[in-house]
This record gives sequence, C-alpha cells and structure tokens, in this order.
Amino acid sequence: MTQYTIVSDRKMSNCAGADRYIELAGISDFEDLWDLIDTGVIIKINDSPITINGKSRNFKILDAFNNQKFDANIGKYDTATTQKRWLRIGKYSDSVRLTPEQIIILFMEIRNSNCFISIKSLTYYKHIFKRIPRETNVYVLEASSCEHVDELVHLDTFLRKFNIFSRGNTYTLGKNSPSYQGYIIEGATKEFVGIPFSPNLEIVNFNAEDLE
Amino acid sequence: MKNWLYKSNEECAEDIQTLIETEGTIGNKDIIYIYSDDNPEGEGFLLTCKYSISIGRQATLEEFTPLEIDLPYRILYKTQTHNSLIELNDFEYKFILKINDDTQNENLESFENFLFKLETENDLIPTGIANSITFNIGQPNTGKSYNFEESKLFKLESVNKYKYLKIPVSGGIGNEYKGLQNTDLAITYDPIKEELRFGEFLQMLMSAIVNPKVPHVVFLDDFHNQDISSLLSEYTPLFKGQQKRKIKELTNNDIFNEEFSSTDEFIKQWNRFIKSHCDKDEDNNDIPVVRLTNRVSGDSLSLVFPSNFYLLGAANFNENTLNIFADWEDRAEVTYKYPVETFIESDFYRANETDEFLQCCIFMNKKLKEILESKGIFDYERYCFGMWKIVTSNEAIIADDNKKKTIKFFFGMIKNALKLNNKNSEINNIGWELMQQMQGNEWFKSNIKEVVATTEVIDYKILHKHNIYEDEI
Repeated sequence: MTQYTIVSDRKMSNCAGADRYIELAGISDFEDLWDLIDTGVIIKINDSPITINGKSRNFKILDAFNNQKFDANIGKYDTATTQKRWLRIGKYSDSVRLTPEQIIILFMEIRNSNCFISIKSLTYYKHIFKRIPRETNVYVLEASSCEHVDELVHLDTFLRKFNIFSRGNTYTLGKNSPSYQGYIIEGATKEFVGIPFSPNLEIVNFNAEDLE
Repeated sequence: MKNWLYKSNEECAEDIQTLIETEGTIGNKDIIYIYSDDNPEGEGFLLTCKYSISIGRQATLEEFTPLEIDLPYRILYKTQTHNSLIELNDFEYKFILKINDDTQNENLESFENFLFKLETENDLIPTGIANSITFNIGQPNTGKSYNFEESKLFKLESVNKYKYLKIPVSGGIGNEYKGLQNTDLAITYDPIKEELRFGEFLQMLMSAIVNPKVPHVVFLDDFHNQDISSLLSEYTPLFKGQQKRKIKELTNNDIFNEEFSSTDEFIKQWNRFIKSHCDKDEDNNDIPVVRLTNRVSGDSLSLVFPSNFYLLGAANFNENTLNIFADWEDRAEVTYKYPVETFIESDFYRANETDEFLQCCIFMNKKLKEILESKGIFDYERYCFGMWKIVTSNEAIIADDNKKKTIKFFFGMIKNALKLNNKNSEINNIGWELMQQMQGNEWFKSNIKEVVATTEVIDYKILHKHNIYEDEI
C-alpha cells in the first residue's frame, strides 16, 4: 500500500473556480494510474468499474473516515513539453467542506486488477503557513483569501503568541494567485509551518515529504 | 428539542434570523449555540452566544457566559467553511458543553451479580476424591495433579452440571502484582474501578452455597510456591471438617438477581440469605457461620462450609510444604505420592513392563529406597524421583537420546532432595553407594557408567559428572 500526504491548497477546496483537483505531479503512483487504466492493468477502482470519457477516467473514491464513496476522476493534459495529470475530487471536497491548510492523506493499493483508492482529510493544525519561494522566512496563509473561510479579526493577536508577526507587505504564490499578507517566522526554513490550536503547544516546521 | 451549533465569527451572528428561515428543520424550542474559531486567546474555540427559538420561529438571544470549548472532529470539519450550521447529537452536545453524564456514573456503581442458578445432576460427585479437602504432596513427575484434572474428576456428559476452577499458585516474591495473594482468594479493593472485588475462589465458594446440589471444585496447582497457611488464612476458621454441612435447596431466587444497586447492597442481601436460609442444614443441624472480614466497606461476609465444595491441592516438597500441616493436616486429607508404587499401579507400567530402561529407573528408585532405609531414613517419598518423567505426551517411553540425560536428571533430583532435607553431608556417600548398587542393572552398566562394584574409595569425578556431587571441605 502506498500513502501520500499533502497539504490542501486553494485548488482542492473550491476557492479558485469550480474545478477542485489535486495536481499529481510528483505523486508517481497516481500519475501512472491513467496508463494503468488504459492498458487494462486496472479494471476496477474500489470494486466499481471505471468509465472512460475522452479526457477523464471516472470512478468512485472512498472517504476513509465516513466510509462513503464519491465521484472522482483522473484528468490528463499532455503537450509536447509537459504531461499533466490531476485527480478531481469535487464531490468529496464539498462533502467534507475542504478548506486550504488541511492535511490530505491519499491511500492506494492494487490487488489483482482492482485498485483501492481512499482519501481522508485531517485538521492537525489550526493554520498551516506556506513559504513564499525565493524569500527566506516569509510565509502566507492560503485560507485567508478563500471566500468560504471566515475572516479572522483576531488572527494577528493569536499569532503573536507564537512570535509570528505580520510583515506589512503582501505576496503572491505564482501566476494567477491572489495576494496574501506576509508573515515573518524566525528560524523557519522548511516549506510549511503548522500552528497548533493552543498557544501552549509548539509550532512545527515541515516539508511535504516529512509528512509521509 | 434539538441543539444546533453555528459557526460565525461575527458577534452573535446577526444573520441568525435569515438562517432560521432558510434551514427548514429548525423548530420550536430548539437551541442554537454560536461558536467562533477567531479566539485571540487560543485554547480551542469560543462558544459565544445562545439563541432559543420560540413559536413563529423567532430567535431570542439568551443570557450566556462565553465558554472555551473543544470540538469533536466531525463538528470541526463540518463547520470549517463560512457560516456552517450543524445539528448536535446528544453525545456531542454534552461533550461540547462539558455536561457530566450522571446516568452513566450510576451505572458504574451498580453491581453485577456473579451468582447463577446452575443445572443439577443427581448424586454427581467428583471421582476419586475421598475428602472435601484433599492435598497431594510429592516429588515432581509423580502424577500429583493428574487425578485432579477436570477430565479425571467428571465425565464429559456432566459438563455444565459442576463447576471447576484451577488456580495455578505462583510465587512472585518481590512483586506484589505477580504472585497469588491471600486477598485474591477473598475480598479486595480495586483502586482503579473503585469497587470491591470478589476473588475467584470466594466466588466459587459462594456459588457452591447457593447451588447446594452442584459440585464445585477448586484446584490449587503447585501450591508449594506459597505458604498455604498464609494463602488460605482467611478461610482457616471456616474449613473445619466438623463445620461441613449439607445446605438445603433454595426456596427463593432473590440472591440470583442480575444486578444490585451497589456492592454493599449485594453483601447485605447475601448476609440476609445466609441468616434465613443457612440456619439449619438438611438434617436440621445448626450450621456454623464464619464471617470473612471486609475491611473496605464495613459489612463482613457470612460464609458456611457446604458439603458440595471441594478444595484440591497439589504441591512439591519444598520449604513451604515441609511443615504446612499444623492447621491444614487437620482439615485436609494429605496424600504423599510414593513414586514407584503409584507408577507400578498404572496402566502404562503394565503395558511397558519389560522395557529395559523403565526397569533400570525403577531399579534405581528401589535401590535408593534401600540405601536410605539402611541409613535410618524412612520418608523416602521425599527423596525418590517421579517416574512420569520417562513418559512422553504420547504415552510412550522417551527416545534413546534422551535416556542418558534423564538418568542424570534423576541423580540431580536426588541431590536436590538430599539438600532440601539437610542431608548435604550424605550426598557423596549415598551417590556412590547408589552408583555401585546400579551395577546390578545391565542397561545402566552398558549405557551410563561402569564402576568397580566393590571399591570403597569414592570417585568424586564420576559423581560430579552425574550431577550427584557435593564438595567436601
């Protein structure tokens, strides 16, 4: 069984358009899924047949917490230079009211020609900061610009208890990204910083691969 | 009446009336709690306001002191997004508002009865048990426990019509949690569940009293691991032969109630039962009642000695069994297992009588007995070794490659027995004499050791090799 842990972002949680998906770049087993379906290595996913539709391969994904199945599909976009795959989880995302800054765990196991895929989302931390590339210790909160998430008036007061202060500048995360309030987190070097629910606990600095 | 939880970071959710209109299932007398995840102090979430819904679905703000709360995970993720409403079930409501469940505590205090009415079979008694209290003492492998096993005492078809409990008595010196304690057999206090606990032994005895036609057997296996007088000290005043009585059949079943409101209530009911039912036995004699001290909750437990209760014990000779019987010799039928005699009576012996190795072992035991007698030692059951060591679980004689090892083991057993009985100075003499006498057996001579049968000079090296040597300094 393989397991992948990722931090949810705007794209997965209905903050950026109606298409809610996980980009599978770097998640090798899931990237291969398309080819495994097309070559007939996998015939069923979660005991149900796969329906093939032009640019997507449709199946049902299992919510490991609630033991419910949701429509999902694998999408493909190939050009001469790049090959992109994504996992669309719209129905699941709505059901669990997925927001950015959550921890998503994907499981996959292939038994004979049946592939088991399940997903669960966890809220380990109250917030998960994401590092701005090319800045040393500037971090932003992706949920802060999502219209489905409540605006937090007391956020800065709460963060001060962890010695995290607003930078006063705004930053973006790549192309088409909204701008976010930047925060300085001294001593943090890794991709993410998890802020616990209580100020009595410590913040955790981690990379995506540390979660696995 | 339903309880709802609504997440809103605005003060007391001013849009509450709109919410009620869109959410059709909110009804009269419902309560809506508002919580915020924008708590500057951290430490969980803040329950800020409380609305009650009246007729006409009107929300009224009630007086409420904000409360820091913790959320079950289902609630947390279902209310992650903006302005989410969720119905709370009973458990979640109590968890969030930190309401202690009183009904649950009452349940914890109730006492579940361990006494049941059992099926009976006329005149069923355990086979081969002469006395209610019977102890077998002997060397290892003399078949002490064998006749006390469940299958030897009762026929298969009588199952469920008797009760049998085997308690392996363990030592565990230095660790109060390891060994069997006398309190395990009687009443103890369980500090974790905060309640009285009735030991298995006591449960059997009480069950025997209320089921007077059903034999109840407790078998204390290997009780030499502890001092039996101390282990059973609480029962010493009860188990006197002259106090044993045939209890009458029960006339009412109050004592079999499944539950009592508390342990104390059960003890009171039990004592009432003993007082009313066990005043006279079947032959209209008085029944002596002995009270088992209950230091924990006050009321002592009245007990009688029923004739259908059997206490069996098996033990080796050691410092705990050398002189246990000041009090228990009087109460128990004590049998010493003579290794050779009991073995020769067995079916196994009759079937394998001609085996050379078997004859060698019996020869060795008999010669040892003669040597001991010549030195004025007559309690040779303490020194001779158990013969069942040479029999495998398939009722065959052990394999050839084990035979030499077993003879060495027997010499070791003899040495240990001599040591235990303060005959250290005799180990070498008896060992050498036995070695010489054994030359009369052909199997021994050809397989173990040939020594010159007449020499008076002890060859300590040979004795050491055969594990029956003690240095003489």
